[in-house]
Amino acid sequence: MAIYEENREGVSGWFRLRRYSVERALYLMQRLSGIGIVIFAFVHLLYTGWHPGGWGDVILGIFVVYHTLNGLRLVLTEHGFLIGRPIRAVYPYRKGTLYGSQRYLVMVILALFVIFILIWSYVALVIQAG
Amino acid sequence: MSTDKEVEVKFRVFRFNPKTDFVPRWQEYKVKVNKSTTVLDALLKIKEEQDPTLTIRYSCRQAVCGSCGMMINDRQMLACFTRVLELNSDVIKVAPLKNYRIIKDLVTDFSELFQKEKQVKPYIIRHDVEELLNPTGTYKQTEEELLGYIQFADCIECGMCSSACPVSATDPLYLGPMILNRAYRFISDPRDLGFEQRLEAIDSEHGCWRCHFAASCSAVCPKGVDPAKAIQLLRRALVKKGVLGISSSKKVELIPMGHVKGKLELPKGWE
Repeated sequence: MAIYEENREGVSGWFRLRRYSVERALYLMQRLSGIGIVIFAFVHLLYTGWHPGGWGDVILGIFVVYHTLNGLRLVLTEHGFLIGRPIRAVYPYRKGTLYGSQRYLVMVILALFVIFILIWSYVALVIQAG
Repeated sequence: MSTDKEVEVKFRVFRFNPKTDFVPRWQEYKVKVNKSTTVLDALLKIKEEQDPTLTIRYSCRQAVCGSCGMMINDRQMLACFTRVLELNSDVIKVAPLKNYRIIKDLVTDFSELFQKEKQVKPYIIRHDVEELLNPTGTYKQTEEELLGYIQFADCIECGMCSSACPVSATDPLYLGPMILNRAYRFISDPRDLGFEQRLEAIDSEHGCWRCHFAASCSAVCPKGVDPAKAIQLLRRALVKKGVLGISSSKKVELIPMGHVKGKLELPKGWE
């Protein structure tokens, strides 16, 4: 059948994360959080006074904070910063996009993500509810 | 010797002939392997001793030709460059590369990929026709200039990066990391003057702007080429050209060059 012959993964390819680098998981989360934000934005435009409330606010916060922080990382790397200069490829290979500054930046944005989400969850679940 | 100790390993091999089969099937073989047996060796052993109908493609057996790229335990790897026992798995799953049309079993069709590659003009473009026809000397370049592109020139065109790319999985028209790396290799070559001629292909919806930096291409590259870096540097050059207005003739300002420490930088162990 043509679909087997074509052998194209389609969207399921986004979810095949095992055996690849962490950047692929970050890419998947960027896509999913982006789709989540767009869906919320549509609802928000129709019913401006509505917001999910409670845990719904926490999930929305996760989407927005992750998308923003990872987006900042992408703005830097996709303009050629923090990925290293071209080098001579010598075994064992160390590729600039998977080591060094770029990887440290991944750790920084994930740490910031956890901190922001803890603060936001406290605001959404304790302060606003109380 | 421990290296000669043979272990029986189960291979689950993807079998599909689009001309005769309706759906693919998985066929199991048991093969005795030792420490030095590669996946390609094992597949050839299966073909010789158990099933001559199994179809594979290979040529050099030493990770130079890029013919034997396949999905080994769900990851793009060169069969000749992967030792069976180093996979630490009782069952080795072997399938054709994802996102390429299957010709038969483990053989995929790269003709579409090479057709797309023509769009980026993968050769050095120059305007001094007289010099090309009647050369009076050599085109010299410095060590820094060489280091600016030599990493990307190591590509063996095995197509595994384009197979691993999650964007290629959804967009058949996307040029893919292999071709964009190829484009950057020639753009960053100081002898080349064809930046403008390649813009139509690379500065487009299905060109370098389609990349979302999942970096899977670099993760699977068997030659240390780092195509993800090539794509980001290509974008950097395009932004510098488009936003900062730097002319494409000023290649030194668009393309980062390698660092040379001392007189000549040699890798560790080469001295």
